[in-house]
Amino acid sequence: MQTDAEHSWLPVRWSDWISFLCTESSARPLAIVRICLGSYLVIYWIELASFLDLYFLAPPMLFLDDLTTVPWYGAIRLVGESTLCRQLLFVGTALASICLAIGCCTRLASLSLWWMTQSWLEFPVGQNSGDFLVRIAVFLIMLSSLAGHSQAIWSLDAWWRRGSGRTRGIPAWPLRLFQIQLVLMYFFAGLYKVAGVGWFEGEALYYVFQHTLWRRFDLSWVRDPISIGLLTYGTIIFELLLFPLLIWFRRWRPWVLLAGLMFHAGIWLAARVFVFSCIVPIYYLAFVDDDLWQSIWEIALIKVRSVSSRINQLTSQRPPTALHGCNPQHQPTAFATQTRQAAGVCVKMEKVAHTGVKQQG
Amino acid sequence: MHVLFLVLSALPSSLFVDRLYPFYGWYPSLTGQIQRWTMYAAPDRDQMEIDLVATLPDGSHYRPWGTSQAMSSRRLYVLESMFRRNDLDLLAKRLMIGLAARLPIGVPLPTSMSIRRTSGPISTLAESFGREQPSSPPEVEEITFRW
Repeated sequence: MQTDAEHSWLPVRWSDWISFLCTESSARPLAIVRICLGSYLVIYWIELASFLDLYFLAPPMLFLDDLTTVPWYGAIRLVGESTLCRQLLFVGTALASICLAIGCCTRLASLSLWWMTQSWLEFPVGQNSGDFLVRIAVFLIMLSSLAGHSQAIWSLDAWWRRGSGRTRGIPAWPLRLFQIQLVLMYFFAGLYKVAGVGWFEGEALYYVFQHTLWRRFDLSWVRDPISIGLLTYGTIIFELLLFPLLIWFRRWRPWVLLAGLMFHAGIWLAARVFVFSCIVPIYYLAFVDDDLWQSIWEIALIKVRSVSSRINQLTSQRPPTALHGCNPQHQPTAFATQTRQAAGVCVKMEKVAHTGVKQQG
Repeated sequence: MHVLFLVLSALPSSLFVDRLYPFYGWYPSLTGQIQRWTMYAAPDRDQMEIDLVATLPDGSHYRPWGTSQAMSSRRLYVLESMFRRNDLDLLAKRLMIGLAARLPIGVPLPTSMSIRRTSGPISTLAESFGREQPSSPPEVEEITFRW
C-alpha cells in the first residue's frame, strides 16, 4: 500500500522523515488552504467583534493587569487601553485576514495576523477547541508564508512577481504541519474520550442527544441502545484509529475525508458547536492533493453533464406548447401584417393542445 | 521537536508532564499552540437551562441576549462557563456591567442583572426504558449584580 512517504509503510529511517517533510509537492493545496483560511478568518473576526467589544472596549471585562499571559510585545499591551487604538487594532486584524486570503503582502499580513490573534484570543472564558484550531492554523500559515510557500501561486504577491501562471513546487512540510496537527487533534480527542466513563460504557452520545440547551435539532428520540452504542464507539474508533491511520494512505484518503465531513455534519446537527465545524474542513484541505482535486472535478463534471442531459431529455420530450409558433420574436418581419391572423391561429392551436392532453389523459 | 512538544502539551496533567513542562512549556505559550482536545470527553449528565435577565426599575425583566435558545452559541458558552469555575464571579459581574453599558437606547439602567443556571439530572439510558424518572429537584445557581 502506498503512503505519502512513498518509501516504506512508515517513515522509520531519518531519510524517510526528511523525504516525508521535504519532498517537493504542488503549491496548489497550500494556496487553497491559505485562501480558505483567510476568507474564513474575515467571517470569524466579524462574528467575534461584539464579543471582543465586551472584553476589551470600555467598560472592559479584562484590564491589562488581568492579561497576565500576554507578553510585553503582545498587540493588546502595546496599544494600551485606548478604545480607538483597540478598534484600529481590530480593523487591522480583519484587514490582515483579507490580505492573507488574496495573498497581498502575505509575509507581513500573516505575521501581523498571528501577532494580533495571540492577543485577541487571550480572553479566559468563551473559547472552545475551534478557537484553538484557529490560533494554531494562523501560526502554521504564518510559518509557511514567511518561508514564501503559501503565496507561491494564486496570490497577488505571485502576480506581482509575474509568476501567477507558473505552478512551481514547494516542500511538503507546510502541508505536513497542518496534517500532523489534525491527526494529533483527532487522536487526543479520542484518547480523552476513551478515558471517560460515558464513552467507555457506550452511552455518551445518549446524553449529548438529550441536552436541550445545546442541541441544534432534537435527536433525543435516538434512544435505541444499539444505535447509541454504535454511534458512541464509532466516534471513538474514527478519532482514535480510522482517521489517524488511514488518512496517510492515498487509496483510503478520499473515503476518510468523506467520513470526516459526515462526522462533522453529524456534530453540527447534534450540537450548537461554534467555529469547530468550520475550521476543521479547512484543515482537511491540506490532505486534498492535485490528483484528488482532479478526481473531485471530474466527478462534479460527470454529475453536471448527467443532470444537464437529463434536463435536455425532459425538455425534448415535452409536447410543443400552444404559443410556441406564435412568438413574435420568431416572426419579426411578418409580425406587423400577420398579428390578427396569428392571434386566431394561436387560439386554434391552444384548443388543439388542450384536447390532445385530455385525450392522452 | 514541534511534534514532540505538541504531544507533550496535549497530554493530561500529571507529575510526568509537570516535571517536563519547564522544557517544553515555553513553546505552546509563545506560539499559541494550545492543545486541549477534551471536547465532549465527559458529556454533562445534567439537563441545563441558562438565563441572563436584567430587572429594570419598573420591575419588568429584560433579556439583553435573548433566551438561551435564541442567543448565539458562544454567548451561551460564556454564560455556562461562568458556573464551571469558582473564581469567575468577578468576570461575571464585569460582564453584566459591560452589558448594562451597552443596552439599546430607550432601555433604562437595570436595578439588577443575574445569570441563572437551573440544572437537573438526565435520566440514564436504562432509566429511560421504563424505570422511574430521576426525582431529585432541579438545582438553581445564580450570580447577581445590583446597581
